Amino acid sequence: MFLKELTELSGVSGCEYEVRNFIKDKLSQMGCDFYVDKLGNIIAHNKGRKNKTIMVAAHMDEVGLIVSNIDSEGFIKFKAVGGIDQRVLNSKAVLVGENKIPGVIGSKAVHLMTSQEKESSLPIDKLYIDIGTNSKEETEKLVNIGDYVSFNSSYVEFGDNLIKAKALDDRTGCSIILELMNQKLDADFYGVFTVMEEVGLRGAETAAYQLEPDLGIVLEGTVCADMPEVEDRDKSTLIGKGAALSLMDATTVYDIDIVRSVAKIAEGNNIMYQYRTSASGGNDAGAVHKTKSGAKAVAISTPCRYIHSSVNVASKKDIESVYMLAKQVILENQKGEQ
Amino acid sequence: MLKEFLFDVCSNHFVSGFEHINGDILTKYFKPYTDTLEKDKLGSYIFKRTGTRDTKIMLAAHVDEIGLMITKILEGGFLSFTTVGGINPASLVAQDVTIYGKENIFGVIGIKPPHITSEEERTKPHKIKDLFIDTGYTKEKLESLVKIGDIATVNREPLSLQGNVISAKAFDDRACVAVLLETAKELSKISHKSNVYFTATAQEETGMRGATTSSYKIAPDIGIVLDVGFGKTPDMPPDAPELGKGPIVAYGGRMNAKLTKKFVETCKKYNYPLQHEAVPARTGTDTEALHISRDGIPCILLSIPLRYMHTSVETIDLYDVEITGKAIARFINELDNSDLEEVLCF
Repeated sequence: MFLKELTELSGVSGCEYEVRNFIKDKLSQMGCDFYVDKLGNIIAHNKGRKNKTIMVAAHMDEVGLIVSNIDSEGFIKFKAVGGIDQRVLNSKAVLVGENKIPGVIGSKAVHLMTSQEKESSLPIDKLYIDIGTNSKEETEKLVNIGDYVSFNSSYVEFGDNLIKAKALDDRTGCSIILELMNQKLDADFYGVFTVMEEVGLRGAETAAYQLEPDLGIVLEGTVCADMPEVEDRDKSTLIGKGAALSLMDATTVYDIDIVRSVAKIAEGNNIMYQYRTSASGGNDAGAVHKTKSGAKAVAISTPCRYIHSSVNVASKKDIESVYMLAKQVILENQKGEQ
Repeated sequence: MLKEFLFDVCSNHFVSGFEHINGDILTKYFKPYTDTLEKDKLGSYIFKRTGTRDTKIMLAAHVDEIGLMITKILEGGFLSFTTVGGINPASLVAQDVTIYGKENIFGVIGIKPPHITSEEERTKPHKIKDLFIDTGYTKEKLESLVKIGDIATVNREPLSLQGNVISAKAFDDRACVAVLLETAKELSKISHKSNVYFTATAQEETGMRGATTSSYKIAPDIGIVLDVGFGKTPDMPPDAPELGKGPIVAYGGRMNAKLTKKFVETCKKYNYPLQHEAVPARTGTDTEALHISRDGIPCILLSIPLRYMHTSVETIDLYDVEITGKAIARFINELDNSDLEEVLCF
């Protein structure tokens, strides 16, 4: 598993090159066939016994920020890339641009806030990044409009088998596909590392078009809201309770027969799984299942608490369950006569 | 050296009331430049450079920081907490923390994802009661590691930004403890007559309590109080004090006017830049305590400009720390060569 390295790389949607270069290096070292398409997706091929075309996909990109302006005193204004709750940005360390200029997103001192200001959270257009410069000119030497900004958050293992990192959505999926490629299974599949999932499933669209899969297996990091303040019906998934199978979300109504067959494979192999019970959110399956005249798709996800913030939390056991289940689904679908 | 001290001391916690736990770090840095160490009973550290006459000058900067205190252990390995000192709950969202229990325990304060949060909900800030620390342990395991009353702080590795600008938690007020260190270092190079007390006061954030007891214990003739002030950001008035332009001198009833004037004159003489601020009543600093200690202490108040106060990304310019330390050493030298009674008489 390469999860630590993968999560500590920057790869905000549209600027995935660090992650792409890392994965390309690993694939080369493993001796895998792969190419990079016109959007920047990596399409790797594991040749083997084949009944159908299987596309296993995970997205390389992560939510983050993009520089939108530099103000007269050198503070950096930004926009969100992907879905970010404005409230997770307060008092954070970030890295700006290719040279990873360190900066902080501050917050007005609580002492200076009016009671009215305390009643509402600051919208993103009122926030700014401070890199310690004193003037617009000084900042402009280091930062350009359009530079991408990622959270500065290290990988930490804690509690009972948990991980805290940024971008577990979806570097868990990337890490699992790399591991699957490394297995050299005698079962044919394409391992696809997509770009720009967080801004509209863009990479998956073109990758699916190229591969024309019979079955898409999307490996995701997904919503897990099993915290004390959230009612049971809103929790979506539970951490430590295994791979999450999607039934329906904002982008896909999953083929129920495929979902049930995956559940059966999990049961048959003693792999812990659960159903993802939220209808919100979406993933690359939304693009894959609509490609050309349509494809079957399934999403197998690692539950991630505090997703789309700098402090995602996931269970190593769940990641293992997703890996095991994806592997078995590939093997089951390609077994039998060649 | 100042940066090394600040990064070291800000990588450790000194939550109000718990300052004694990591106090040895202060001793390590102050010992080479001071003669004795005493503590008051509340946890203030008093490092003294002995002079040649009876005059006592107390420098006060609080070493304590805001933090969290555990109030309840919940199912699923979550912890409820309250705050020690004034914290904006908004600054705690999506942070990782360390809980100082039986061992140091890593935790995360997260919120539910945007996928299931309405636009309207996002505009509403969290209250402390809505936030939890996720430790990833079972309740049973957690109960063996954490007790109600244990403290926690936000994790933040100190950062070097551009130039001399640095960012970390707890520069309020360890930036000023660094000023004390710089002054001690400067005074070790020149002979001085007054006894100088470098006081890292306890429990400022919960009500200037260490300053109350340490100033009683020292009974100084003069107090020089150091704290951080609000450095200019886009959401502040255009005339707010800026980083990198020197300490902010406070003017108002709690500060002795003649002493303040003498400090300003000293800075002019030696070309140290200053910024100025009128503070007619409450200063929100240890000055509140020193000013009315025993029969009263003539004080001056200097503030290091700092952005994002009481967050984990407090940002300062090291230049301000360094020149303030040097300016105070010059000021002590000037006081040594003056008739104090004349300076202080009304």
